Amino acid sequence: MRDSTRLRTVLAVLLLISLTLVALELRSSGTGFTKSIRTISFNIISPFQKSARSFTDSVQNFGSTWREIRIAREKVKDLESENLDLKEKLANTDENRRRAAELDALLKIAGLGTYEIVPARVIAIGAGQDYSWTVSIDVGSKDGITADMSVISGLGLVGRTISVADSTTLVALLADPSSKVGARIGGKSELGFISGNGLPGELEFEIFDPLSEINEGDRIVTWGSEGGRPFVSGVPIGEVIGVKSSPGLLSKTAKVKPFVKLSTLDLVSVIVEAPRIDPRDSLLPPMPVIPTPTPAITVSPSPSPSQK
Amino acid sequence: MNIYKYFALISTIFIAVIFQPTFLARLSLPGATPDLVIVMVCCWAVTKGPEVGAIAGFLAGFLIDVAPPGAHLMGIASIILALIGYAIGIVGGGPSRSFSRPLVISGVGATTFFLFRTISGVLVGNDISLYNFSINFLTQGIYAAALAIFVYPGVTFLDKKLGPVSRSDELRMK
Repeated sequence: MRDSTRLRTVLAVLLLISLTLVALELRSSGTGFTKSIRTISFNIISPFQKSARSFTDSVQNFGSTWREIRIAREKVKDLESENLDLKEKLANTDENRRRAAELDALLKIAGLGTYEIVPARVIAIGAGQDYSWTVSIDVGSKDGITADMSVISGLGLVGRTISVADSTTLVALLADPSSKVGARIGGKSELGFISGNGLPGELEFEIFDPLSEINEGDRIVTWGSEGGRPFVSGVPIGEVIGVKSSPGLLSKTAKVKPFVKLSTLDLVSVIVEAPRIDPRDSLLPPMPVIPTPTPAITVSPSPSPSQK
Repeated sequence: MNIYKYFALISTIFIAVIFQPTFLARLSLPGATPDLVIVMVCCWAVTKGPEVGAIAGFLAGFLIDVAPPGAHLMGIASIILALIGYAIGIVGGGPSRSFSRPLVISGVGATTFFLFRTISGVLVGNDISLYNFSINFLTQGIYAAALAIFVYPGVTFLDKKLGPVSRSDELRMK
């Protein structure tokens, strides 16, 4: 009997603490006490996450060759260490090559748009269990990052920064239900809003003018916020894959597939300085070229005056 | 529960919270992301009963809420997980020879937690299709049971290694 009282007391105390946290957070709405708890925990936990991340990397690089190496270990002991060394190097080269290609793409997009960027790696991905899409990256206020900056990858817009600790930053991705981005159709000037609905491969584009013409294959770029924050202008977002016309409504909506694959992010960069000139559509990837049949030209010899 | 066991409890849950976003989320398995944290809570609750279950759930929920990249309302996850840990301790706690029981319980715990999260997501205004929900619900349960195959023996091993079962523990189980 005494025991069940104790059990109930423990449960009641735990629930009370949790409710207090909820109340504090609701009252201060992300500032004050709960904010400082978050900042402290970010600073404590993110080093662990970083080392776990590098551990995961080595496991992934290693995983495919693990079996062969185990056989080799049984056979020749010294060959094993050499083998392992070489194979790990090889796996790393592939990984590095991929990373270099991603960096190249990032530099290209930053150069075209004359953005000033800080490159970063994704260290933790929100599990997506509650359909919120956030990631944390390994740069922070020490690198000059503040909240509400655009985050891009080599292919286009990724999201925006929402909260910053010393060396980690939380990024809300495009697919996050809280995300809303001012956007326009590349090549036309139709304006609208891109919003996330919790799915990584599908965004919603709401166009203000219900009479405007929008087709599948139209590409969407950011429209840009005041002073380039949170979103700089002219960053590619995605491609229209379906138009939903709803007569009677004041706006028209379309489904947009983002250029960036949001579920497998690795290298990204944060735009710390917006360009002075709006790059308009210059950052969009080139349109796929439709081959046009070229008429076969047959050269007929022109009659030349015969020499006599 | 002696002090070493509490230390083991805290560190296993901390490890689960660290590896959840850095390892399991990056595997990008079909369907839902396997939820190591809830499995850890379930296994402790099954091994040690409702009191430890509630404490483990509270700790796990708190860590989930404050660890990056979490950005949801602080305190909600700890309420839900403490209640789940408590309930599992009541229903499934106590020493048992059966190996399938912790697996089933972990699956049920994980899907329950997922259900709560989905409900809170819908309340916040997320648009969740039934198709996505059912796929995630099913895979969540299967992955949790699979994880429990490895986690449960680990937890019982720690429990046995770190001192004999005390008299108060035995009483609490009854």
